[in-house]
Amino acid sequence: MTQTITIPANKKQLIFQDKPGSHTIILEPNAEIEYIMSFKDAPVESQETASSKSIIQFELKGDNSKARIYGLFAGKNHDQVKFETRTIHSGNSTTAHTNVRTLLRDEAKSDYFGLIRIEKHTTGNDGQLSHDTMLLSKQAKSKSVPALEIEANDVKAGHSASVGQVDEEALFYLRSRGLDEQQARELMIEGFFEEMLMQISDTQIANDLRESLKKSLT
Amino acid sequence: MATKQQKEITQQLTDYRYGFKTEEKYEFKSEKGLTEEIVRMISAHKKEPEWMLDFRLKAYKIYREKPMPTWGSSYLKDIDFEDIYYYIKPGGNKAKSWDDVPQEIKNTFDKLGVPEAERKFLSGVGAQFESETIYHSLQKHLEEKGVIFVDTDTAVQKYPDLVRKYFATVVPPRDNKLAALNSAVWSGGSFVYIPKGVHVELPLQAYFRINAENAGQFERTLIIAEEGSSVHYTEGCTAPIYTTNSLHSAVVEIVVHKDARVQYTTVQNWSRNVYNLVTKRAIAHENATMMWLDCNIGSKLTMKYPSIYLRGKGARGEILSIAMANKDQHQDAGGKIIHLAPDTSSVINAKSISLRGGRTSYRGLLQVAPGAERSRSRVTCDALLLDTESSTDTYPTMQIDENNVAIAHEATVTKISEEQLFYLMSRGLSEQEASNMIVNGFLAPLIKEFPMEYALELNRLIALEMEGSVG
Repeated sequence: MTQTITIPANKKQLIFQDKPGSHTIILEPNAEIEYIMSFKDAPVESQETASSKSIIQFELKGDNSKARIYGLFAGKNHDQVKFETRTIHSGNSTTAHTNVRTLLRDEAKSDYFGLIRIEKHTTGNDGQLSHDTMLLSKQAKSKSVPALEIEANDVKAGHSASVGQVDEEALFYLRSRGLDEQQARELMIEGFFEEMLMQISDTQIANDLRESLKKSLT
Repeated sequence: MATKQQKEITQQLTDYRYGFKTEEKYEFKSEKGLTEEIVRMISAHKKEPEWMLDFRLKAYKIYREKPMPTWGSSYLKDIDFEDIYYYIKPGGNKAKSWDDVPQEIKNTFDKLGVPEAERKFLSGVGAQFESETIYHSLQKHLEEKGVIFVDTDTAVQKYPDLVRKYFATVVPPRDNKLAALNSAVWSGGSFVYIPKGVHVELPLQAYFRINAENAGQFERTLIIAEEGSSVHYTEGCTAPIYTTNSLHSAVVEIVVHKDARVQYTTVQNWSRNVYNLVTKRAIAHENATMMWLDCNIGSKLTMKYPSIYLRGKGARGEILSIAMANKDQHQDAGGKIIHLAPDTSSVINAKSISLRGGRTSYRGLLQVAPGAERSRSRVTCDALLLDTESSTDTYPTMQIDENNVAIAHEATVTKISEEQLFYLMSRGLSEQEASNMIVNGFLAPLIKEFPMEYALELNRLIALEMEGSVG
């Protein structure tokens, strides 16, 4: 079931989603949302009962509305996460920046679809999305589809995505500074999320997330 | 002065754009629609061996069973498969030299500049008129090297062992509904075989034309590059404008053996009523290089995603794609690369332009299979929207099942900025010229990969498409 939340005009709100589920966020003029997601799907017994997908949709209906969206996902063992973000710009001069980072070890799996949609006859909209994935084991699997549907030309729209493992050169650098391999690796993995945690305005949430991500990584 | 020159070019192009239609003379024309009877008739007419007839009949069954794709363009449902001629054979026999080619067909080619191009530049011309190749020439030194460059029908008769070994091994009929259709009714196309260690320095070239109203073209091209060889194959399409829709559904299969290199260049400029639904796929073995250079300007709808299976260690794949969608056009193009072996690398670079309400879509797949260690790939998609009516989509799928990889993807959507226009116009260019220049600059990194004559034609075509797009 999808839950709908409306952010009223000229209001700012922060939402932290820590469980899977579908939500629709509607933004009125000048409304702002900071949306933080970090969850994994409930364990599935077999392939037949595959978990349903969490769809988080942002409708930037009001002019000058803004959305900052952060997704931080860490999976281990047989963890799975299947989710979709949609930012739909139907107002003018709206901004939505989505940043998603996924770190997978063991046999963890991630399936992500991230859509930026800019509606016809709108102007001055700005939609950006990035999705970076770090795979720490051979059996980890990642599927990522960053999509664009652009119906207006006065836009700034783009996305980027990357998939890789711990950067060997950075690892070498850290080891040359006296860290052992294990320490250097841990530091790199923490750093992968730290860049995003630093941008979260609520330090309490950022600290809690830092702790829980750490836990789910070891 | 630039204006005058441009006007002249535009005039020439306007003539060119609407194509030519020579009087139709047919030796054989099947009835509209498709039945098992027609498939049998096509095979009998070509005096094909039993195995090819069996293959066609099996493919026909698959075609009947398979549903149409539910994804892709909304234009797909407009195609009436029962309103199409599936086989047409033009009058006159196949000609070996230019003198033997019928005058009216020659006139058409003259307008396209083929003979001249051939004299100057090309090593061989296989030209497809209707559904069968009429004219084929191959320079002597290529024949001496053992290079085979014939239409696929001839290859079935003359080189059955080679054809049987490779035919439908890259794109089986079961792949998709349109590949099944092509397998059942295919006709013409090129068969290219490059022996071990042979390098074909000049591009091999085939011109394709559709000339009968409602004539579907189902050519089948098969290219085999043996170990350490290299070849550059180019195809260019032009077609006259018709009032009813026609269908073009080709299958292209390429096998690039160890250390070999194949480049396949397409300039697609079908008339605005053609549905262009093509399956193109290559397999690259150890240390082989495959490159698709794909340019889609014409047609009503194009759905085409050239693919490369990097099957051998160290294989490389590159897909460069240009798409331009004008009024009522949908260019749904892209590329697929599948890394199946270690140390493989790939690049996809797609650029699209939408204007006057046209729609471009990039649809791509980048897949890394388990065990394809040290795979590297970079995918870049740039879209340029020239007005508020046009639109663009990007759907790049990345499926990564191996961790020792470096994969990057990037996409941008832009318009022509006021500052750029203002600067160029302050230097004395009209708004149209300034826009043309910006579009040229946007495409330049890909256009320079084309053989020179194609690059020139392409720039002119784009200028024509752009005409009247501002103000």
